[in-house]
Amino acid sequence: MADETAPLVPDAIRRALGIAKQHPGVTSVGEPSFDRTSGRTSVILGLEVNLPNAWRARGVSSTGVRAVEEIRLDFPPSYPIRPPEFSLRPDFSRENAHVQPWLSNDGRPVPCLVDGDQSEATLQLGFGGLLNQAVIWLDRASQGTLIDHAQGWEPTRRDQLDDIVICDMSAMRARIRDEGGHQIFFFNFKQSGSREKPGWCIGELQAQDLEIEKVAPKNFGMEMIEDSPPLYAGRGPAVLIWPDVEKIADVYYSETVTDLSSLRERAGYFHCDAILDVSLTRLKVWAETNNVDHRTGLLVLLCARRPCNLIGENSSIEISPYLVWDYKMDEPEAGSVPVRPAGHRARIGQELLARVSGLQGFDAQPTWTLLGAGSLGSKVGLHLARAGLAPSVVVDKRVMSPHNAARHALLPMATQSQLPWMQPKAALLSGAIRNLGQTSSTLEKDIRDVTADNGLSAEAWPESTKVVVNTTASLAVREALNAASSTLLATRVIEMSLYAEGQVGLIGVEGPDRNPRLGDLLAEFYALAAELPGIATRLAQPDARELSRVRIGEGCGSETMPMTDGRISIFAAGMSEHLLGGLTHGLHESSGELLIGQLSGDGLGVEWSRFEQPPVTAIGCDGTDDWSVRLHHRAASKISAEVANWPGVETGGALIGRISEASRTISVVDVVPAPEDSVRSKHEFVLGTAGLSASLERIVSLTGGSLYCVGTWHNHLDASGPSGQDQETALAIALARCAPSALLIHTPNGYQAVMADRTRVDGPAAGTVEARQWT
Amino acid sequence: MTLIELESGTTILVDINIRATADDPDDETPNVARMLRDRLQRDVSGRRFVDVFLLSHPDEDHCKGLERHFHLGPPDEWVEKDDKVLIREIWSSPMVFRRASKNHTLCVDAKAFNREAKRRVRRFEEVGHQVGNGDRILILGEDENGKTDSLSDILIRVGETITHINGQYEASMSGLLLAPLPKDDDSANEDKRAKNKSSTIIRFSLSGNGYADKCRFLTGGDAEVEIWEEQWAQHGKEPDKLSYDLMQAPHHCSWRSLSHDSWSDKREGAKVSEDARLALSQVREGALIVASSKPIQDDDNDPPCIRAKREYVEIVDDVGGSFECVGDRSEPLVIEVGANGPKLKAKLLTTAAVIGSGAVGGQPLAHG
Repeated sequence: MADETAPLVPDAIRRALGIAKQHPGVTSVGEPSFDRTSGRTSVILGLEVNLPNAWRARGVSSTGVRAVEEIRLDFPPSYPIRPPEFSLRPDFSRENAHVQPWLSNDGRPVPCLVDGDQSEATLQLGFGGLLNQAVIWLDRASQGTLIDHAQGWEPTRRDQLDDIVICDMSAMRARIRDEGGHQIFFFNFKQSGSREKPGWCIGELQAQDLEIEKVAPKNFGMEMIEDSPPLYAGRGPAVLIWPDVEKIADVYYSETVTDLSSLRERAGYFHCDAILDVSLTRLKVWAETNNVDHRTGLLVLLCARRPCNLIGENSSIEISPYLVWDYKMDEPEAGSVPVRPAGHRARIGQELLARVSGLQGFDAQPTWTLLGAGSLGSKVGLHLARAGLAPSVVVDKRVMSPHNAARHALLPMATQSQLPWMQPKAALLSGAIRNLGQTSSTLEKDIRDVTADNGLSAEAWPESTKVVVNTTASLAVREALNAASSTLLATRVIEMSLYAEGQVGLIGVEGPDRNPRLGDLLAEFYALAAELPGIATRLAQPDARELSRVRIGEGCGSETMPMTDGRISIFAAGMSEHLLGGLTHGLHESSGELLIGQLSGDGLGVEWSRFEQPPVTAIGCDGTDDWSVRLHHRAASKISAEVANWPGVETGGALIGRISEASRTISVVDVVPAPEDSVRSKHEFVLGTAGLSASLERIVSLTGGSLYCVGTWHNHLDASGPSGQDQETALAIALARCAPSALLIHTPNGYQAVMADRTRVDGPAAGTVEARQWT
Repeated sequence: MTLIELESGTTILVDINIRATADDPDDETPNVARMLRDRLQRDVSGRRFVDVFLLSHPDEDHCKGLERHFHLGPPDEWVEKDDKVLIREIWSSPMVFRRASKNHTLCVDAKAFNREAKRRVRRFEEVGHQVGNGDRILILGEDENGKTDSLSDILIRVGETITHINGQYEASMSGLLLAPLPKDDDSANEDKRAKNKSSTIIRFSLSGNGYADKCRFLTGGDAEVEIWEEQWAQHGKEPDKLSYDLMQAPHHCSWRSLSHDSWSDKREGAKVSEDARLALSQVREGALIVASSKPIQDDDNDPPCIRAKREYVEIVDDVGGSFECVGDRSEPLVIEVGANGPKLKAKLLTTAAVIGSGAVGGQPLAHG
């Protein structure tokens, strides 16, 4: 027989059997037998089970596993694309956990060796790995540890279910009281096929408690909505059945329910069969009272109280749904009515999405505000919403336009008319977030107005807001956020923007107490961009800094950067991940940060570089004016080094940075060393001119005008404030420049500053410079 | 070499025999040093450590490799570069206080062990209970002439139970000290003991899955027949003290632990000592006896001795137990203690073998 069979056994199976022979846990490999009809190859293996001493002495474990177990492998002809079926000896106890709910064709129990698809596992682990799984499975079965209570209770294995029930199990568990009982709900469903030949059923439980006695008969029933193939829609009752709190079901029984009798039997295992009867009797009384004799679907949710929490749940209550195809409520005693185990799917919602995204376990849902629901904002907003962390508020004043369909994360509606699409972007995004089971309020206002109004800002970023994310790419919005007072905006702002046609991306995260704040971060970004070769080149490309006017209709244009949806997504993905990390693990506690992303050469990916941003030193005005100089770490350390380099004399240099009129700040990010012809002495520092203009112009050119000279600095050897000469110099600068300038003075006691502003020269104190002493 | 990993994570290493070839990657003898190191944790200072090292007796094949692989000396002199294993607490017989005798010519590692044990005793004498991990020692058994009298805080007398490790109560283990017996005044007796390899004998009781006393483990180094006869004389009336689920066959499965006769001279004519056999046969149901020896052949060799194996197989057969020889395996013999008592770990194909299964080998899973 072997000779006749041997050539028919495929090579892949022969190799598998070779591995089996090598396996140290395999005691014997039988002769393979080949079935010509099915093309299957079967082989019996002996697997050694190392039993604990006492059971080894008796030859069998207390769970009925023997020291050597026989396993049959049935290889399909398509092996290894399809996996071999492992089956146990026919009298192997099915009371072990992880035994499949079905039997092999000839009635042998089938172990559940892997969590998930065995085909995938075969290809992932290899045949040897699968054999290892079988050895481990038997080892655990022998010790009764297939369920590891430390890991949690493994829910009953119920594979290949045709019916699916959508239901919020947390809401169901919340109904369960200590005393055993039941609760009735509405159950809406669609099902295909017929009573004789049922197809599938998809149903949804409505989690509102129902007092059945008050329900009118017309609320239950089903009707055919399509005839070929038959499709029914209807509504029936769902009953949640739970046992007393002390009734623990600590034995694993594989799923065997096929009809009402076996459902009652299973309810008995869970100590709630009497409660099941009570609930069905209640339906019967209602049906009789109301003369209801038609059929409809019935959903039974059977609860088992397990000795430990279910794996991945913080509850020990296992809920198993069962479906009766067409239940006749007035005839519950018909035990042979078919019952089908149904699969459960959680409702789309925060909890499910966070779980699937691997984001469980952080405290209190963080709230955040999204500014801008455009192409970038919608992507970031939806990425976060899909992780269960939707923005609490979406602020955008604009209305969706047909051209937005090219890159917006939302899809136009399936209708000829484009009117539904042309709604406020904030409302549309909020609607999509609602479909993801979460809520975002909307504010369709100009953010410049929001930052100037107490009521609006309280609406846009309520007190609990953890972070405000600006994706508007609007310079005006950025300025408004930067200038907003701490009473109107105390929350840290994250800036996300794209540059150079999507070749460069920026994430700027403000520091604690908004220091560094947005303006500081942008000034730093320009300084860093000048230092990073790849970025400088890209930002310096013609038009890279300019928004292009894209034609979106006859005579109409929109200011935007032409680029693909994919390009934006490449950046939006990283930005979303960074935001997700910040929301779940907290933002940096002592500083802000800048992340600069560069598109890879092939355009397929982005490399992000991260730069920590320590707080800047704000040198504020003590007078009526509220201008301030914001001295960045880079500039401050260069000044200190230069002062230390020239002991006993005054020294100085030129200041590089940006001026923001909206926030009345002069950001100093860098300094240019004093030219060679500068004169340093004990009482005076004279800034020379040799090559200085050229140096400053080079910076302006390199940064495309984003950074420029914002004044000068020098030091005093004592703690004195601005001298008469300083005031004169300030006046000279004020007259020579249109922009305000800073005269920064480093003293042993800290910095002081004088501001030179032409507008002040012609002001009330005409002829004298508006010079202010800073502390 | 036996490593006991307690449920608490505490490790007790009993004897070592790490040959120099362990460092040679081309050498085919099992690299026990690596196998051991792979199983040990590192402390907060990055030092790999064992909680306890028990030297049953100072023969070379029980302490070989100590100096090379273990840090000896004050713990703060441990150096990262050498990456040696720190021994938090040493369990030593009082032998270290005795002068070398004609019966005890100590090997290099045994001398190093003695120096280290003495250093730790001195450290205890200096600072008492302030002594920290890496400086700790327990003396197992009293020495002659009251030499150990002043060390009562670190002394475990024969018949007492070890319940603390590194100064902490250890809930998952207790160890009943059965030998070495105090030095005998009768010099003939003492001489007999010395010749009979007076090892430390401990009967451990280990917990499994949180349940106490799920595995009794009897380990007695190289103790030979007279020592076991003495054990039976002592405990014959309370044989439970000698009972075990797991025993390491003494002296690498030597006939000398069971008989006064020479195996090679008398072969099947050699007689078993009834008392020694009784001491070694207090088996619980399904008991397992393990021979730490090379494969046992039917020849004149001793140890391991085929006749000794036959005796042990007979002993375990009575209770449906089994006998294992580590030399029959290429991998370490791993015994797990669970709620149902001790069991051999399930045999699996190693990763290398799984991957080596060619076209059907392991591959990473993608997500679609």
